[in-house]
Amino acid sequence: MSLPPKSDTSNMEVSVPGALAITLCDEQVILLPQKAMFWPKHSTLFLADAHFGKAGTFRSHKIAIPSGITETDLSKIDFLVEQLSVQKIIFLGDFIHATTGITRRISEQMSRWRTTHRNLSICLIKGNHDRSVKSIADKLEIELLNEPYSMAPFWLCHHPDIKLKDPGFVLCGHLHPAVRLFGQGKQKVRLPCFFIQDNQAILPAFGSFTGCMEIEPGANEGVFVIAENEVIRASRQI
Amino acid sequence: MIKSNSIERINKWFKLKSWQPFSFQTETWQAYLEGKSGLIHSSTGSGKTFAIWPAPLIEWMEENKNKNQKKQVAPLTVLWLTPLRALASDTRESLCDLVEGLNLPWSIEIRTSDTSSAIKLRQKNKMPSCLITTPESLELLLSYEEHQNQLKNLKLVVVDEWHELLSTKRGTMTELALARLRKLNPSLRVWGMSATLSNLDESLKTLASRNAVLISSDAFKSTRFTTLLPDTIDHISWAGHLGLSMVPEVARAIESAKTTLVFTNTRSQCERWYQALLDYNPDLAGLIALHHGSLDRKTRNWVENAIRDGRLKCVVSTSSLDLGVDFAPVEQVIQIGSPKGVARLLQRAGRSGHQPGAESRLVCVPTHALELVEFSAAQKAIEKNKIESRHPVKKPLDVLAQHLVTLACGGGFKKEAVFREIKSAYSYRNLTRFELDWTLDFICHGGKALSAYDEYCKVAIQDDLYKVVESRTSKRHRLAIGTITSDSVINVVFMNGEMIGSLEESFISRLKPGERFTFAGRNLELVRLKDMKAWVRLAANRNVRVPRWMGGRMPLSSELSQAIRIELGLANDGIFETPEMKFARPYLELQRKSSKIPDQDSILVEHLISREGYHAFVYPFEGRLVHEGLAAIIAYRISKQTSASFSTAVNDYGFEILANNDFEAKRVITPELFSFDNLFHDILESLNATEMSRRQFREIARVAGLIFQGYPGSSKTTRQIQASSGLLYDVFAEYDPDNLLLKQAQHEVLESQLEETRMVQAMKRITKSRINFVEVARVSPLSLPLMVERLRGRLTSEKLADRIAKMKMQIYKTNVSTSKK
Repeated sequence: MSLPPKSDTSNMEVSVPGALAITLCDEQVILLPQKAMFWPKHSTLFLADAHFGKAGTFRSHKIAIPSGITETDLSKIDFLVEQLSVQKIIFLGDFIHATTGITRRISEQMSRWRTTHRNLSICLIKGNHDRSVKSIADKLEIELLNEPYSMAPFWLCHHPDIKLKDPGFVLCGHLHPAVRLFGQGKQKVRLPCFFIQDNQAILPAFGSFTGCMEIEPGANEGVFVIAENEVIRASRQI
Repeated sequence: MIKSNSIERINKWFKLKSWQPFSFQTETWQAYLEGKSGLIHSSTGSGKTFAIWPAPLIEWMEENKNKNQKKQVAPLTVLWLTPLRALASDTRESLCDLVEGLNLPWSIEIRTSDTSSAIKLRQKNKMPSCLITTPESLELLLSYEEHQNQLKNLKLVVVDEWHELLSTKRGTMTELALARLRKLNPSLRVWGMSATLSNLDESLKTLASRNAVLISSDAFKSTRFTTLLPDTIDHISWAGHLGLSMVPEVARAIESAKTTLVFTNTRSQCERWYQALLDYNPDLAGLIALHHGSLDRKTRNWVENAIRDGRLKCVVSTSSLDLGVDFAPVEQVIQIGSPKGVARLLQRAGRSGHQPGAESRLVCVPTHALELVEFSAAQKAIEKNKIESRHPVKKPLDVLAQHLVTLACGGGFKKEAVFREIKSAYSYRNLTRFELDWTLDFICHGGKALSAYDEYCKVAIQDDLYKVVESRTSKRHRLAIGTITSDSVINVVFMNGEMIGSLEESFISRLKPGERFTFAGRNLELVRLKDMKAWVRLAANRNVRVPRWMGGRMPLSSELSQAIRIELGLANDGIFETPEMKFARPYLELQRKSSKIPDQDSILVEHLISREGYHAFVYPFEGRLVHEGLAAIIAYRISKQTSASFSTAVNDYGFEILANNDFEAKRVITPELFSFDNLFHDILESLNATEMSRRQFREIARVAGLIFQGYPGSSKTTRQIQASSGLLYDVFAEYDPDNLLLKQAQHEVLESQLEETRMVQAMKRITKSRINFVEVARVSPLSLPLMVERLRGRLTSEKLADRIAKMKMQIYKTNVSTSKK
């Protein structure tokens, strides 16, 4: 089965500059330049691969990473929650990087953040980095879910290509997709992207301190790059 | 000259060898005995070891005249630093030779990363009289508290092949280590051995600032140069760097000599030539070998021994054989392609003709037509003795940060004392208090911004003493020492575990299992990549790919560039003096016909419109690094006048600016465009766009301890703390923009990546010149190599979104690998 997604920018008034609305399985979703996806029907924000505490993990291994990364990422969420009146956030895995990075300081910071969003319901589809996420998730009142998790018509996963009992369209992360674009005059540029295949949409990694993996999209696959503050369709299809 | 029994004993040993001490040798003994440090230099290199080595022995014999020498082995007296650990065992052999000849109770041992831990442990308890080691292993010694006792009675440090280290960060590290040793023993003498450079005085200062002398060991030795010319100039292509069309000629030249060293410029070229020579003449099997830095050390040792024993007819190598002990059987040196510099060509030539009375024989082989001009120019430069200089790196803070952590592991330091110590190293003579404070903050708190994070704290301050307290931290730091030069490499092994060598990760990671490649002269098939090893098996059929290695892209030196410009100027006036130039004449005349021959008073600019877009080719002849900078700046300056995106390509002779729309090259390319007003600003602006500092940050991040490459043999535990240097750079640029390491990246790009000083001189020259603008209908002989250059820089003044709108995405139909993240 395949429900070819369609892009459509006309319908929805988007209150986030640079965002782009597309249709997946007849559902309108909004691709955000903050590297997140919003589903207006359920006021739900999807964030993949936040990798909270990654800088802290590095620091605890005596690698000096500057501070301010967590603040930036949290304030990006604040902005989106405010602009889009988000009621539910679903993290598509890899919420934390490693427990060594969730220091007391970061944990307190996140708790403070949580108290400013008391009414928000937050879930986490557990990813491969989330093996020991339980204590921090409990503290932050985040509901833990296992993949695949159904939210019709979508299945929510961390890993792409998960075998499903019932076929359906998957929203997932894990890959940190980026694509290389080529232009005339032998130009090249590499940008993080949303990667839309015929049975799944892979979200870019949300965390500011995350790397990318270059994908090589097929002719019928959709690629939406994040160019500075704008989501732009890069593929011919979709 | 001091007369003594000890010197007599040395002289007697020389006589037994039927040698006569050269005057520079006795001069060195004398200077050493007077307490002086110094630098011994020569362009060909021979006899330097025996200029310095007898000196500490004479001193010891004098001091121990009346004691029974047999009883006790001499304590650690001499530290012998060698740039390549592969040279250590040969050095040891020649040092032992004299000690055994004199029957002295001196022990001579090696300590490098190859030394077994059992021997290292023994050395920890009892150091030999003379320790042969590398800068990295010395730095490692300094990271143990015992070093203060072990090294305090050291009398002499010998720094071998100093010209190789001088202008690198390994050289800077050596300077810092010497500063520490000198602090332990202020009367320590340091002697360097070096090839001839034009800035020998500065080179001497980096080793010893006071009471030091320069000694020249230039003995008369003649060099015979020839250039291998094919039947007609048509056999030499306009572009390329492999030169494989010359294989038959080279094979004939190899026939004519007992042993030949064939020098290539890159490891991939080396592999190709080895294969091609063997294919051309299968009789060479068993008589021809391959030598480059990626091969396993055992293989390299075997090759070196085989050359020495005269078992090989020919060895194809890279700069890996530039250094080291002399190979007596070598009669001839063949240089494939551009030598890039005058001194390098001389040094390579000097690898031949070590038989008594023999001359050095150097045969140059052009890989493209313009190299004929280069060879002609190089010979003239050698005749006029116009040799390059090498300059030390200026106070790199990444090396300082690493060294300070080393000292903090090795017993700790106090701030004021360490400031004086560091400033006594030539590279850091201008270190400011602010820079030291910043570096200390960085290693203690991870920089200012981090001071509130207690999970960091690499170096602790206890009672003013900066010290590493956690043993886990020092352990990890020791692993990081010595990674200064190594890119991330992956060992290549057969399925039975037999080691073949190592390759850059960037190449291996592009291969998929089942793909074939050529390495170490063999066709291999990748089976799998696991545990930081590439497991391979022999492949039956021909190779598909030859690895490309990073590095090896040395720019044409400023001396050689200038000589080329002069040579071309003569050609433009119709003067073709040398055989090379006479042979190249049809090629140059074709350039004249389709465009113009660059002359000395003007700058040639060719303009061409093709399917790819609008090209401007500019030929300053200043070496690829300067061109890289110039191309970025010029593209930036043009982009300020018109909104456009450029890509640039460079080589040693010029650069190309390519745009997707007409940027009115004729109107905008003027001498004023090359003005050095606002140069610094424009460089930084255009650098930001072209990401050069981001690339440069890779090395800095590694040296400063931001990238941890993992524990040997256990790749898994460190995955959580792997981040690409590009990502680190972005994070620092955004969250800690005042970080001095970012500034260093910019600075290094200026100094070493762009040769800023040289660039300024070039710009001065160009602003005074005329622009010789030529519209060309099709690609000229000079522009072809730039057209086909695949490594490109980019610069744009358009908004990213606008650019993307113009770009069309390259669509691949492949399976998307969704493996780990």
